[in-house]
Amino acid sequence: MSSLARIQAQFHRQLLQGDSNVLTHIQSGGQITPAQRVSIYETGYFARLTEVLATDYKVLWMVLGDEEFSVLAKAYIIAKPSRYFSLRWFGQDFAQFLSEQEGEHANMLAQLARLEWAFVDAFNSADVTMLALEKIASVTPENWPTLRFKFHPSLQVVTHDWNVLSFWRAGREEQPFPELEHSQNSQKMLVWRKALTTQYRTLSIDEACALSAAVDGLNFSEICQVLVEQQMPDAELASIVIGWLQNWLAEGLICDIE
Amino acid sequence: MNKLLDENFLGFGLGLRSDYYQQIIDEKPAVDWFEILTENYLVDGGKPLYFLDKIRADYPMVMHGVSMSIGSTDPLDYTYLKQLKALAERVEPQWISDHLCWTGQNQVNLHDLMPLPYTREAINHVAARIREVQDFLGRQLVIENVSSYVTYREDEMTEWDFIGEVTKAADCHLLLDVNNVYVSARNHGFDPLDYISALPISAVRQLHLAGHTDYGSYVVDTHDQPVPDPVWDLAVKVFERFGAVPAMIERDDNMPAFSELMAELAHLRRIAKDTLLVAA
Repeated sequence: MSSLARIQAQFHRQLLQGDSNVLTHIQSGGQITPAQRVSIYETGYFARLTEVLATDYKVLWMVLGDEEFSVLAKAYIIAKPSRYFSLRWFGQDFAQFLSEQEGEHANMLAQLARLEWAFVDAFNSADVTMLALEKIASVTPENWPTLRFKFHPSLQVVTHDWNVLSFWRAGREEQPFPELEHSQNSQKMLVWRKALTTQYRTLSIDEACALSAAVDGLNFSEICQVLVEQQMPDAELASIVIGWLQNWLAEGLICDIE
Repeated sequence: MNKLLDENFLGFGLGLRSDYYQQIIDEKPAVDWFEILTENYLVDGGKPLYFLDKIRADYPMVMHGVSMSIGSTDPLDYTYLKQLKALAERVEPQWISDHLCWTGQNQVNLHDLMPLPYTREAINHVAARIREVQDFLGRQLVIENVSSYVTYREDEMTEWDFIGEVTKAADCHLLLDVNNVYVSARNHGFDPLDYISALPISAVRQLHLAGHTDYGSYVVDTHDQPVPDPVWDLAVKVFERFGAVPAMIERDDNMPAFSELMAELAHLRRIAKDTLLVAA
């Protein structure tokens, strides 16, 4: 190994694992010791990445407070060193990491983190040209059954059974946090970006089912069939699905049809 | 002074930060150019790229990155370089800069600007990689001196000799961060004038001026404070030696009102003008 590679490997281990071999390479002299000099890098490393997490997971940070958030952030930084050239991606495994922690609220914290990350993702997702309304207006009735839909790349469905949306809203509005509540039925939420602004709303189980089928590339009649198999009454089914599609179009969720 | 009036002189700029996007679009402030942080725009879409295009329509830009890791012993990251090149095609910057440092190893990114040992081995290694990047991008690279808190026992020369040797061997330019020179001088006990008086004049393409946090026995390059007097004083010496070099205020954190940055920019213009008039 070259001298350069060896210095880098040892400095790397110092920051990631606290291994102090790099000190043998550091010049002494001046007003501070080699160990103090190296510790400036160590402090900076954890402070910088903790700040990135606190920015991406602002409400989670508010819920936990500085101290508890910093402990979890440090554990994540040690467990998941960044393999990304941009800090934009560094926090993407934080929700999964939180879900693997012990503690009675781990699941709630993970769900809140997942919700916050959905907004980060939607904020940075690709721009697309939206579907011209004339294009869908020109679809003839006989072509409707085989119509497929292409969705905005920012679209995400987030599932939770803790009242994390109430926490998120309270955090964003700097209001007191609500009592923690757990629901027997999981809630689904849609997060996406319309033009430059991130959006969200809740989804019914049936609409979530139809949306999932449409995102998977099923055509209109196949989407209806999936809903029939989900025991949805079929009397008004086609008109209900058409109503959802109209909403998805108006909300900027559908960006093309084929 | 003549060069300040030269229409090819880029002038005096600011770092583009999201806090000021709308104000810049609404008020079109008298800033000659903006420097963008490359990584902020290596995203798929949304607000960053929208505002980038809007502001680019009104101002020249230069691109400044933190992820090239030009001094690392890892292979160059062509996924990054391809995205960098694509962004450069969109922005059409005056030049592209990154830092003379390493940022990680074994594909792990420390997201910090780690100092290199000032050795012949490091010069050869870095210069070869800068040349490789320059060939890929089809343009000369501008590399910035970083501030540091350590030097290595392996060092064979001073930092300024190291920088001079790298720019010569790689045929690249230098972004001289005046604050970083001050910070390293304080941390390592050298005279910052020795540093700037040894750098090759023709290599310096751009200047950064920034602030730091002074802890008494050491100084940390935080870029979150106004430019302090010792850095302004050093900037005068830099203009005396290097002449009319495009210069900017670089503020990365603790963002003030935009008017405060404009006041610092006005001070920078004044210092450059006064110094260069005397020198002419």
